[in-house]
Amino acid sequence: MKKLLFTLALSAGLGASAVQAAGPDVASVLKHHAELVHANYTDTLAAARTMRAAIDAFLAQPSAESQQAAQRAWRAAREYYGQTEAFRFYGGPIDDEIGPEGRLNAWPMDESYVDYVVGDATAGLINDRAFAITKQSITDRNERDGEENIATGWHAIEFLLWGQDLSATGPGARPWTDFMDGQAANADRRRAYLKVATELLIDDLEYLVKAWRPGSRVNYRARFVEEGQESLRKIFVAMGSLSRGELAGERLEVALNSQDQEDEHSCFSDNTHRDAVTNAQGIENVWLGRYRRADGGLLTGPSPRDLVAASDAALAERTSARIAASVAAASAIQAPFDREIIGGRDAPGRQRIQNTVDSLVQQSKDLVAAANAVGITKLTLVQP
Amino acid sequence: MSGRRVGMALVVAAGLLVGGVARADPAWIAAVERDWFAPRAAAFAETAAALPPALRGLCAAPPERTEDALTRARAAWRSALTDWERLAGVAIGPVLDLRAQRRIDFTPTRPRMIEKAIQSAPAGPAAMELIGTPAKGLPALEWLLWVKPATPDSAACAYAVQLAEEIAREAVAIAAAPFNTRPPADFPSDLINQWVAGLERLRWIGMELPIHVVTTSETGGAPEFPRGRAGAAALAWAAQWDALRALAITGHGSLAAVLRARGQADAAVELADRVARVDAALRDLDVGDPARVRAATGVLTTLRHRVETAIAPLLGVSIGFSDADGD
Repeated sequence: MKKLLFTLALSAGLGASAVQAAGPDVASVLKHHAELVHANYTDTLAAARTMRAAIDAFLAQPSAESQQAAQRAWRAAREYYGQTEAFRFYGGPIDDEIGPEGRLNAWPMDESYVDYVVGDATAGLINDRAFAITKQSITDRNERDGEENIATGWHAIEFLLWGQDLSATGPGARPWTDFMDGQAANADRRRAYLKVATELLIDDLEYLVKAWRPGSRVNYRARFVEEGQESLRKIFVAMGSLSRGELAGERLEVALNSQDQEDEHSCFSDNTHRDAVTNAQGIENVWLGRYRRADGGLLTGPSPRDLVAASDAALAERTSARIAASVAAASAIQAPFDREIIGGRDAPGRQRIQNTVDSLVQQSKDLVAAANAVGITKLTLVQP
Repeated sequence: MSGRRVGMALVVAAGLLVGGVARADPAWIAAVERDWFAPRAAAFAETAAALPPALRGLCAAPPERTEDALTRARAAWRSALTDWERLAGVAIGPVLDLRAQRRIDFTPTRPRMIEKAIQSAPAGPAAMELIGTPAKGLPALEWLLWVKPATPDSAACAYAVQLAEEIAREAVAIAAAPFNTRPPADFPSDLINQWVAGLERLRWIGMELPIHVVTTSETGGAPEFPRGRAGAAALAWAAQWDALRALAITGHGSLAAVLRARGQADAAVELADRVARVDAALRDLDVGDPARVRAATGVLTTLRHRVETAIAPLLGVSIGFSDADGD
């Protein structure tokens, strides 16, 4: 993300309470939503810990095989994190003024800020031996003097695992020997950086799990479930903002227009097509109150859809269909994304992306109508 | 009956609310198209059309005339920019449908992509389709006129001509496209939400973000406002505000006119008052005075808040999502 602090508009903007024929009450929807959020972050944390184990193994004994295992673990963890992005954009634990979003998922990344790139063999913090590599120091450097000066998070780790994507047909191809003393300059520092960045990411995910953990009377979740209609409004704000401005806009349409790899979310691994799917899936999870756990179990419960259906069944059905269509459209985007965006207006890949954009934009409008049906009339976010 | 009263009567006749929700209103749409969109689209088409000859003049200029030709090209750019901002300051109608902001006004421009595009020497619309938007449009042309001015007979100058021609084509397409292709019932919501998005583009992207970047940076320096390379930041602010202001209080399709037509004269008066405060805050605004710029953004915020919380509900509109959301 191009990190800016977001704050909610001061006014809750709540309209008159909707008259509901039947269905769940708001409190039960909020309670289940909190459960879903906690489950998703918990699965993400578990997957990230698995990734950490794979990275530790790679660093202990670098090889092509151990590097690929770490890469697979990164991709697996992203499957869960991508879905959690539907919990953003309302100043919750992930992206309030102290939230870790900017440390976790900032992009696009100027990779030369961290390590060598083609044409500059000594670039980056790794090759600056005067720079002490610690959680605090890379946190301090993250986004310093420029939004693209990304030092932490998923994409810094991604860059260290894959390297620059210089291939037209595949992801980056960083040699595993970059982590071997005697075979690459500053291999010791590269190992240290990857380890520290991974530990920091785990810390931040633990923070999020804690914020949504059940049983606490003082964490964010406790307040969230008590705030009734305002929390329901936040759920709709998250779904709509991710649908339109972020996923349809920043992540897909900007790339479609720029035809530039710089606008590819997970550009080093060529995993951007999955980012789009998991984001769209995350919105559907929230809307339906349904989440497929990492262990295969299905978490279900009272949902925003159910609330809307009690007021306007047809609208709820239409919104569900549109959200499902967006997931399907995103699933049709092919890898590598940086080739999918190239071409004239009629290029098949560009049309697949455009279809997804169009569906997401319509989805955002349907979500406004759905929010109206449950008495919510103001869904905007504003910059500071 | 004066023209103004005719317009108000049309709005009244259309009937705007059913059960608190704005409904189809052809008269409102027609008024916005006639009074706001059409003249602005025509003006942009005209000044955009002047860009290609100005750029060709630069590329063909003999050494002793290069400076004059560059001055003329720069003046043409400033005119086109002004009319573009007066139109795109609120991205509705074809500007939104054709995604024109992303196509010819992608910011920030990317010099490395401009350099790459110059090397590829595209010629004509089909070839330009393959060039990414960060290397095109008004910002790229600004780069080639001020930061790294294209010289006659250079590849950069030939590319600048292609940029100018594409902007001119886009302007013609905007002016020729149907104004409203969406369900009429969506118009009030689209209009007001895009108006709010336009205000945020002016306030945050245009004014406050560049100051925020400098004040949170260790390196400091002067804020890099959009259009600042051409010395046209204040010009752009004024033009964007003109777009917002007109839709707020001027003409038969303005928010104030619709409010009056609905018997909400007090709200219309208050809106006009808020607009006047912005007028005062933006008057003679100097890019070299960040404190005053920041103060102006506060006045804009107050106006936005008022429109979101008071005006939109009166017009039966829910504040929803726009391209300005996300991060």
